[in-house]
Amino acid sequence: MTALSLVTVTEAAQAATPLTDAALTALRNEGLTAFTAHGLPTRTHERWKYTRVSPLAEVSFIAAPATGDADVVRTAEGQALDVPGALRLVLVNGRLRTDLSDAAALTQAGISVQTLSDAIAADAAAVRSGLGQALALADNPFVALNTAALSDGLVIRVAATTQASTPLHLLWITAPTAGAAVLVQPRLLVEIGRGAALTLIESQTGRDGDSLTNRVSDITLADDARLTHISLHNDSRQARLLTALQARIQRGAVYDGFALTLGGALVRADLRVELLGPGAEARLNGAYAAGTGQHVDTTSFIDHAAPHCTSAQTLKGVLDGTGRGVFQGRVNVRRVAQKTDGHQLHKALLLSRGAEVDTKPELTIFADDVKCSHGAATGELDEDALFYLRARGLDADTARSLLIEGFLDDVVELVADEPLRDALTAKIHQWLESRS
Amino acid sequence: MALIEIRNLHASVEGKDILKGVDLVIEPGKVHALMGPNGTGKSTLSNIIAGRDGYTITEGDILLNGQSLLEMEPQDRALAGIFLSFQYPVEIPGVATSTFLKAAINARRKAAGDGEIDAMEFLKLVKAKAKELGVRDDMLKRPVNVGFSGGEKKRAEVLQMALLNPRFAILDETDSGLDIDALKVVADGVNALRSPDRSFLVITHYQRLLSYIVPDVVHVFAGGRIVRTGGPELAQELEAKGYADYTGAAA
Repeated sequence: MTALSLVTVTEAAQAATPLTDAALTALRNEGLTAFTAHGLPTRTHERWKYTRVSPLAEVSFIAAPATGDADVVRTAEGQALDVPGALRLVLVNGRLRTDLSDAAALTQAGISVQTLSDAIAADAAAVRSGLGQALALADNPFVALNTAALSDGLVIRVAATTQASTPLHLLWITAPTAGAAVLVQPRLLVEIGRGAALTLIESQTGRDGDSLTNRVSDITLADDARLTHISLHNDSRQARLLTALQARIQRGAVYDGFALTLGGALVRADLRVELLGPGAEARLNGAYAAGTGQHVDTTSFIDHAAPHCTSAQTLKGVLDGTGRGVFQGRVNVRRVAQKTDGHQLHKALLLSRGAEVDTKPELTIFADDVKCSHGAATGELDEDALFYLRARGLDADTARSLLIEGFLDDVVELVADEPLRDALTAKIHQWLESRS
Repeated sequence: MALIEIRNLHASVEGKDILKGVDLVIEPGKVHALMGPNGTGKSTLSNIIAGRDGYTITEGDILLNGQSLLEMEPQDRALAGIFLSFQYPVEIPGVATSTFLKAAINARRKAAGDGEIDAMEFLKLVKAKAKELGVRDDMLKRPVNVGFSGGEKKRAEVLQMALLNPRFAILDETDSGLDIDALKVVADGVNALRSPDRSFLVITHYQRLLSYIVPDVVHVFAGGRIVRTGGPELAQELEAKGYADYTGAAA
């Protein structure tokens, strides 16, 4: 299926931001060609089986303007994670706003933060090598489209052995134009050098209005590097957010990810993680809540390509009204990946008859000495627990809220750092309060 | 006036009659023990008093201070002063015990027209009571009943009872799964709560608990109703002779 306006807007973006580097220009064209050739994915695509994006073809998108007064930030702050002490970088419609950001975020020793266009201008080849290949353009139409538009976004590089003491907080704000649907396609490159460590927080927020944010992140962890990566997707009611993350994790490195999704009409996370050296570790935990008019899809592929690696993914979702949740998780253990430790679990709580969840955990194992497990459970609120709480005087609504909160908070416990945990549970509580 | 009065209570589950005419009057300040063979409806009675769904009351009534409880929601019964110490306290992952206790205390305060409890006041109150009952601070931080031993669960039940100050508390098989040390701690906790205006119904299979919580009245429950009533000496007799005399009556 073709989506003409997506192509037109992307072509216009290309024309407006010509690249001097031949290789990147060619890559952009490859992206556009791939998207034009394959079009929007349909339900016949295995990885899009439960998430319908064909309505995008009916929407007339325009390029997102570089708007953003101080007011835009104020609205976003209410939606974003509140992590005291974190250095904040504000990106409005994919573009860094230094005037709204913490200046100190750009001047930390050992940590380089550049806009994508500055990074390309400085060293196009370095950017080229930081772009992941795991999500192949031909099979990933939205990654192809994002690649075609390559120009907005951010590049974060942490030099070897640098231990970043302060978390970086990216505040992504999608600001639609009244009466039109905007397309925002930022790219984020993160490279953590050998033995270095960073905590990266991302809050995706948005103003009311029609939008499609198609964001791709490329993450590289060198040997013994460590990235704690906390993401919140808390966009406005009409917003559509497609994110793709491709991470390459080398020997002894640890990617510790947690994603919380609360707001947005359509939120899809495509996660592709490659464990490339012995002792590499990935955690892809998360929680989500979807009510009427919301569709939340997490599709992940964890590739164990080296021995002695660990992966863990626990995802919990609460579905209310006619909300819909999707989890497709695949763990692939290659023949060389002996002593793999891989665990995957999805748990969903259905609060209404109209809610629905589709889960498809998959394990493909080619090594013979591994420890792997996966599971999925879907249920309703525990009647015994409800009675227990009510027998202590809690009214039915309070008892339900407490159980839902507990269901989600339970997975937030997997985040080791207490201030980050508190920031996440605060958002969950905010969501629960807005619900009642 | 009686604090609790159960009148000719009949109840069934999925068409099966479980309670077949229970009559029970408990005066304020009294401890009644309900003893009997397993599977005769003792727990059903406690669940029905607390307001659990799934039972059909076919006849009779339950009165608290002369007011019928039957049409009341479980939370309203709790707020009116009913407390059930569960035979199997429910595990609630993700909900910290302290959060749960605070919610329960605040529900009570709200019903009384008071504001929420101050954080410091709450901490002081809970820590003091917890210490008396040998409930460790780390248990308060842990999710409700998750990973608690049998003894810890029962202690946590008595802690809730101490914090919520009920008028009428039912202890449903509180002794099950307890070793003798835990039993003493729990019994001491209950005894500390005995007062002229608070009554207890202690449901148990064994006499053992009643050596520590000495009842005023002992009932034998069999076949869905009370078949014999006596003083504390009745518990001793049951311990010696067992329930053989009554299982016939149940059939």
